[in-house]
Amino acid sequence: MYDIKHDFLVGVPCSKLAKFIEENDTIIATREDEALGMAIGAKLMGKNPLVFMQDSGLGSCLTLITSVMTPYDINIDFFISIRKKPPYHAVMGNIARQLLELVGIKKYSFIEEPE
Amino acid sequence: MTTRKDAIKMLTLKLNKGTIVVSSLGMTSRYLYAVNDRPLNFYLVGGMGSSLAVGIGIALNTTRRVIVISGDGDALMSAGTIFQHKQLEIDNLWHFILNNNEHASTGGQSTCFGAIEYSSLSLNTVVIDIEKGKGDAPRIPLTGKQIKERFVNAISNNISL
Repeated sequence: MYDIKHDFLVGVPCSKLAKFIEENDTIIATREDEALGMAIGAKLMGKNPLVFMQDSGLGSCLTLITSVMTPYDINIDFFISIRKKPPYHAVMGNIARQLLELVGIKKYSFIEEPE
Repeated sequence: MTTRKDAIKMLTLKLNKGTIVVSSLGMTSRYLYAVNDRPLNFYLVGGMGSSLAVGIGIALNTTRRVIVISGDGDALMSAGTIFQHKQLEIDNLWHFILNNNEHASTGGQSTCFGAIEYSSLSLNTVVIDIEKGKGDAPRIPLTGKQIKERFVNAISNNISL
């Protein structure tokens, strides 16, 4: 789960994250990479941002993860809803954890649907 | 019509003290480095299409003036951030789009930037038409990590160069 220490919450909504969004002060972005870009800017200013999205949005973030987060050594925490259904979520839902590890995201947490 | 280099000179040589400048990937960052390198410049060497998003994240967390210098291709790539800038009423953030209606770095392929009057879409957004072509400026001899550390140190030491 997300942590109270995060002080800049930005992301793209998901029905599984609706409660989290409602209960917190969040910025809703148009795309996941736009959210991640804003989080990177916030981090540079000393904030501790959290980026939230559903699993399918992770693909949109890969450019920023690999071309900015890694070479600039900027760590951002991710909060991701894992949706294994319907079928268009199945692939990313099943590989999200491996993908995050592969691209070096150190801190992430999931909301997962029951199998 | 002005060149990219002259446009960047015009925008940055008389900056107010403490102004943060974020520049987009490619020649924009390279020219900014060549023309007026300073610790409060955050060069995106990577992060294609993300300069305004990063600028928004910075501007929301400071009272300093923040300037984003992008290009038409970069601005189009994350067009949602143009509206986000307005929606969140981030009035300490200025976005200068150096427009040559092409992806100059990759060989001059056309962009669809001409379809819309961009400066009317958002807050503090200025389109500056520049000459076509990539021009030439050396690569920035700093690693991403160095760019970040220098910037973060300048912020935490409250430097106002």
